[in-house]
Amino acid sequence: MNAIETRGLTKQFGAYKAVNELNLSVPAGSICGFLGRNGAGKTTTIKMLVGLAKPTSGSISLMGTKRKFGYCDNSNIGYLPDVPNFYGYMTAAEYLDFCGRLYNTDNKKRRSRVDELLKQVDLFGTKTRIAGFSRGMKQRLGIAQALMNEPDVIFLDEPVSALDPIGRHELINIVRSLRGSVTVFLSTHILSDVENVCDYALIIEKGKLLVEDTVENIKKQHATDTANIKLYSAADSGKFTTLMQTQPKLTVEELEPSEFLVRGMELHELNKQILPALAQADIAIESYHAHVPSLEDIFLEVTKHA
Amino acid sequence: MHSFLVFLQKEFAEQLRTKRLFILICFFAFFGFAAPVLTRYMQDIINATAGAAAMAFEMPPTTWVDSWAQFYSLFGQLGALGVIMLFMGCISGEKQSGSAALTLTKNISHTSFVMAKFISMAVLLIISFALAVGIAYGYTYFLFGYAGSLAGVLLGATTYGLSLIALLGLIVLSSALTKSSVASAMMAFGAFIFFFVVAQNIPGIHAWMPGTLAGQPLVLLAGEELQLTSVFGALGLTVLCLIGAIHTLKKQEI
Repeated sequence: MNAIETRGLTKQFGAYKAVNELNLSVPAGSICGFLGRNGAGKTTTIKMLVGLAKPTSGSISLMGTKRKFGYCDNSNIGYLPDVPNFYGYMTAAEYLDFCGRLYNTDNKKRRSRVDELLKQVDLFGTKTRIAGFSRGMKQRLGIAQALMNEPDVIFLDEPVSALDPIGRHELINIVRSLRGSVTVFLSTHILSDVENVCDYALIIEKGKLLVEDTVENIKKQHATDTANIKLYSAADSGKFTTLMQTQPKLTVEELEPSEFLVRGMELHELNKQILPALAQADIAIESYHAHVPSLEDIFLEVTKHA
Repeated sequence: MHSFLVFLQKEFAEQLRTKRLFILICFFAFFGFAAPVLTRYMQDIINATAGAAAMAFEMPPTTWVDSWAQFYSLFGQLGALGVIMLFMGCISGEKQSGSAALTLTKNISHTSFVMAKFISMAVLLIISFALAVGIAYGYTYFLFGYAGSLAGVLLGATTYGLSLIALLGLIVLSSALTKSSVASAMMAFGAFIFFFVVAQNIPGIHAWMPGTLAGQPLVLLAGEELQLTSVFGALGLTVLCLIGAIHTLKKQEI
């Protein structure tokens, strides 16, 4: 079953299409990274999904239920906006309790859920009012409030973009801990986080969906392993080029007179074939860097052609 | 209904914890104290501040009716402005800060959101105004020996209270229509000028306007009949404003 499904989802501001005919199918239970550069349409898409923005056209289904702008049932979703703002005069526990009461959760269950979530986001025992919270504490509270109703799907809109490395690490660990319990729709432009925590990814550019698959499949389909080889002497360049021509699967790109980029095989095959061949041909190398492309490389490659 | 009550409770707690209740009570109470004192000692104040030149100017003796006239005059000018300033961000402020986005993606309807805000502010307004009327009554009695019949004062205060509620309706609608507190204050102030001042001079509709209702306490103190059309007009305007605010918020992107 898909937790999130959109068909032809479009949002137009005048002549500008911020989101263009988006067809998403996010499997239930996945942690889905929603990637795109600034202005690609991520926040607009999320706002339409949670019912804060009206689609120009298209349909949205969450957990099989259609959503209509202005009449949305939000009992099974959680949402953390990019810049969350709470009632500053409340404490974290009071705010979560208020959220729980909005969902009509019974007293005993609500209190234990508040404690459980505060422990999960490391805010248990904090008596400071929210107005005095750091950005990181606010984001952690934001995740807790999004989980208060034990939702089926939570939408996190760039939750780590303004955090320092420690805050980011803490937040990503919290998201990782949600695996299996809830579908997470994580909008971000920090690709290493998606690589570390997500099992599914979507890449959008100019409001259009470019790639949608599991992170593993995306890497398989779009990635090309490479080896960067720098020769000890430029005099060996001709010998090196001739040697590489004997390997029909490989393509060689000359970066500098003594530096080459070789691709065409999976990394372990590249290593197995090239290094012994170089030794046998008596070509001395200064450096050999094998490179498995990251999601970032794929993202840059895919969006370059969009 | 449950989420409405939860949100209403939160709104009341907010009025207390952000000291809005305290501010409004002090602001209104000041009018309750100031109006009788200013009326009673106006001649002395003028003499003390303007000196010998003013000694020649003799004011007619003031009465308890003048005290009430001063009280409602202060409310009509500074009171309305204070109420607009205090409540201008009731909805627009939450939209601007982002807290409305968090709340409205939970289990609460737009109707409950607007109504809880309106009712909590109305209660706050009524409590503060009632206290101010009580203070003005006591002080007027103390300084002038009489403050009017209790029933007349209460009926006058009720009619004026209704006009304040109509003003609150205009503020809620302005706040729902705009996305910043400043814009909503300007819109509410414009609406106040129209409905409370300008429309009073438009033949045919003036009798229905909340501005006419705001003038009723003095009409009642003068022994004249209550103009019921202004009561219905103010109530109707309030209801229309609330329906407009709910509808606007429902159709609005946040």
